[in-house]
Amino acid sequence: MSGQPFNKITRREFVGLTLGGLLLAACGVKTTAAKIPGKLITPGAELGHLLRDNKFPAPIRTEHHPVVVIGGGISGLSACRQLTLNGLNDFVLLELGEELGGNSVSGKNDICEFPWAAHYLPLPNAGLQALNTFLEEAEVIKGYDANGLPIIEETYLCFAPHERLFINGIWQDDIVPEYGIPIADRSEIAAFFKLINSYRDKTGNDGKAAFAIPIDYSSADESIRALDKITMTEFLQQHNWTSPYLKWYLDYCCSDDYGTSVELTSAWAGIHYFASRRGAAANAEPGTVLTWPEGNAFLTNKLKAHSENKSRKGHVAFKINQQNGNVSISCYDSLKKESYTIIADRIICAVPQFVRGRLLQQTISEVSYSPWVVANLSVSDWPEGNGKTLSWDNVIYGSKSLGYVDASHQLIRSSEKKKVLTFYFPFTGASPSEARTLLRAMDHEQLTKLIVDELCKAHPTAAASITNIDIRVWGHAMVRPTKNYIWGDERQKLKAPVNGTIFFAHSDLAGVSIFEEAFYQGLRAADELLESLK
Amino acid sequence: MKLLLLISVFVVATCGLIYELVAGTLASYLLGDSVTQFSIIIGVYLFSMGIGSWLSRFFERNLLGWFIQVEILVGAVGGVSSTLLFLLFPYAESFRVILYLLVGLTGTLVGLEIPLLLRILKDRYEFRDLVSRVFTFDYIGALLASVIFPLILVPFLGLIRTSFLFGILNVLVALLICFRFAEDIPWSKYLKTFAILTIAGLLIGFVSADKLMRISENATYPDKIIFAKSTPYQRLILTKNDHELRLYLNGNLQFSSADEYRYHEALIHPGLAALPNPKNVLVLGGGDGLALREILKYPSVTSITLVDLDPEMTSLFTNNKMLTSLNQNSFKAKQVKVINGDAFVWLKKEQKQYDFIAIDFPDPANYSVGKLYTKTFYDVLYNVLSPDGIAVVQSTSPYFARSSFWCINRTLKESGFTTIPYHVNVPSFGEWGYTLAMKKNNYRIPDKFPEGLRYIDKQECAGIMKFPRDIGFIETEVNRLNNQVLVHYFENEWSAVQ
Repeated sequence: MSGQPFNKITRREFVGLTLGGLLLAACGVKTTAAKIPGKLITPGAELGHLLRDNKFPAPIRTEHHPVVVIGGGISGLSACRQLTLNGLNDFVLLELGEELGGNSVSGKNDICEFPWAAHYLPLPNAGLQALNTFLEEAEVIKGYDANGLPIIEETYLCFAPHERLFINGIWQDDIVPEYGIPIADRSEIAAFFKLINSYRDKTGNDGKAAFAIPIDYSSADESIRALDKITMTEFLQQHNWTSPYLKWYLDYCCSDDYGTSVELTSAWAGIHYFASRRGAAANAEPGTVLTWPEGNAFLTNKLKAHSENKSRKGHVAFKINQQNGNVSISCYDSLKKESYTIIADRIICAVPQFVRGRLLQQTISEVSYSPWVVANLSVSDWPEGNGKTLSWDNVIYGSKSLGYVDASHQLIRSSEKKKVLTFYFPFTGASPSEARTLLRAMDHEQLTKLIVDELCKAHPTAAASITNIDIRVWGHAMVRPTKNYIWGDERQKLKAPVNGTIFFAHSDLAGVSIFEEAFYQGLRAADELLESLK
Repeated sequence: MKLLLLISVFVVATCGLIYELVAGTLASYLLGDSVTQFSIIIGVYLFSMGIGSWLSRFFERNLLGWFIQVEILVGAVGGVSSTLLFLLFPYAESFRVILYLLVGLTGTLVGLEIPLLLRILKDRYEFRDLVSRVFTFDYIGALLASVIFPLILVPFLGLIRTSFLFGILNVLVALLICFRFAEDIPWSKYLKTFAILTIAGLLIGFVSADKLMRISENATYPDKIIFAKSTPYQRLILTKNDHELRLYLNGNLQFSSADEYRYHEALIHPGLAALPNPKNVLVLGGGDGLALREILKYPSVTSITLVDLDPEMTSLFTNNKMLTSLNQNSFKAKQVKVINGDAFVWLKKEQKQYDFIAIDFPDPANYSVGKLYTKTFYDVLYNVLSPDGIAVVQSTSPYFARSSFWCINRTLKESGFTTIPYHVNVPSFGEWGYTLAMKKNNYRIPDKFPEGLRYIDKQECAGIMKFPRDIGFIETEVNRLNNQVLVHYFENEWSAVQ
């Protein structure tokens, strides 16, 4: 693994951040942050740790099902949908958590619904027929104009104002740093975008798009794939780009999409963030995103219609054995606190690879995941700040967090002083496991302090406006596209079915944790399974 | 002695710069154009410091006493400066003159201090050290002031409290010196009393800053405020003079009793009188009940539903005698049903169709209200309008906000409506615009209007639908939820007017 030199810095910064907070609290510097009520949620952690330590009772009964899908995230739900669309209805979906959707889940309070992680979908690229069909089914795409461009339901297009950045004491329009930025830095940023735009239109020597969604539709051209062998920082160095503003911006982008810092993200992945989006719509500018107050849980709810009555929530698959051409799955029902066995002809493993390793007793070391903290803040009379007004996405220059999204922004109601803001904080350093250990040790008050301190960089009086703060710690939130992961050999191997009976689907098999990848991974696994039955 | 005096240089420098920054900020709040305001304030301030320095030569004896006296004065003048400016702004004919006088006075007093101090300390230091020390403290104070002002003082204390606080600090230092050197100063007793009284006064100002703000709000309206209330949605202000009653929402004039009949007759009758037998009417916004009053002039109308966000608003106009005499108790009419809720949310769920719909929302001055002028909103509106019905939309001023007016027209058309724009002169507003929206292209100017109208008749109705060149049609974009171009048009156009 690369990134060793950064290990120390990141850890020190992280410890410093945490200890600093504790020290302040201990010294009696009472901030109002300490008194903000709310819940701390660590989804699936308890059952996940049971799985890690393999402490389950012995199975007491056996069931038979032709097909079992393990994992109710987007890839699992997408696989289920593909199975039912092809007439295969006899299957069972096992989900460890209490809710389906994986990263695309939501919560609700007396103000509105809000996302717990993934919260938007960019306009789909042309030619993604399967995705478009699903979006039609979800009534997101309402038709097509004469040029074949999709007409999107207007209340799902992100409302104006879209985004703002707090920099040099003011909220500026747009997230690319501009206000008070030296000319030299501006021209570097412009040069970067010029290059990126050329990548957007670029095709490889095989005629395929250099950067495509899904990732596996991208060109195999070695000259392009070589970008996966260097980091985003090395890419910047190759171009002699040294602007701290450009670096901050790219670090923000990498953290936002992948939960990895610019030092660790593969340049191919870093560029993919910009160069793969070519979506257009009849009634929206390119670059517009689709979003809902509940975030991508909207899409989850549409997808899960296909696995209704077939999903078992709170059921953990803890071991998979292959026997006589069948697959036996040991499951634990967390409600009844008893284990049972399912004998299946085929299974789809729609779980992250670190879980797959435990289920199949395989050693998987190449895939790593970044932890995230996501908080939903109920606020009243949120301070506006100087410059551009509260927008959908609000980013703070120089913050380690990604800022906050106004979940109530996409409501059609026109005036309400109470809002829900979703705050995102990925831990992008070199050692995710250390960050996980540190996060696990923090309680609600300490995490609240961490979050409020970041917000105070733009809103000194933030704490006074927050009435409740619910926090969710995602230990393994996103796969990290570090260098050589996307186009290295390991990812291809992990995608391949085992014995013609076990199929794999998860966005970590694409290397980037986005809805489209999870959706297409589910389709691919389901198609492979259906093919194997012929 | 030396250290205390040097510290006082530091405090004086900090306070001085704070007063200057407060004046600059206030001037840009109240007068706009911050570059000009700041630039002139800095110039006046520095120049008056020069005057102060020059004046210092006329002080010959008892320098320490004068120094303390000046410091108390700086604290008193600087401390009350922002309050004074806020309060005087609406009264003074030439606010700028008062502003610059006050800045000049503060600058002169501050300018006096350093030369006096240099002379007080001249025997205690080498000249070289003296100058070096005094100016070091002076400039450090300036740095401190310029950093904490935007980062801490303005966001946490506000302008009024900031000036009081620094006034107090200023006088405290004077008091301290007074006590420390009581035997060196001939009139130390008088100075102490002066300082303590000043601190007490400033302290009262600091504590009651909230009340002062309210007083100054009172003064920003032309007439006496007779009612003020902050609801969860807006701030309602009613003002009154001998001739008229005015309603302001968030500082924007909603109507004047002197000419609101023009506005409301024009809002309702060109559309409603054109319908042969209107029965169900919907009013969105219009919580003052004045549009209702006009609608109630049609006997065929059997049901009127009014949706207004703010229950405090509708209840005020249902119960207050002065206001109900204005809307002729329209809320108490048996045909009227009031729903307090968000118009967009309510409309989206509404199944019924209406023959006439009057939309009287505030102008699209922000993104929240802007949503109620989007294509998505008008698509929903289309569904609740009966096939032969007519809707009318208050469409801001085609004179002051020409693109905004025509953008509303363009957006209604995009939703499939046939539109007829028109405009009326309402003296308290200026030239004001409306848009009729219907599903068929068969509008005819009504032959008959209800009895007793003061403004609209057939001839006037034909006239208001003609647009002279300076407010005529221009191309605009469609206002959508994901672009809200109307808010941009509106901001640009009204900021050019104000």
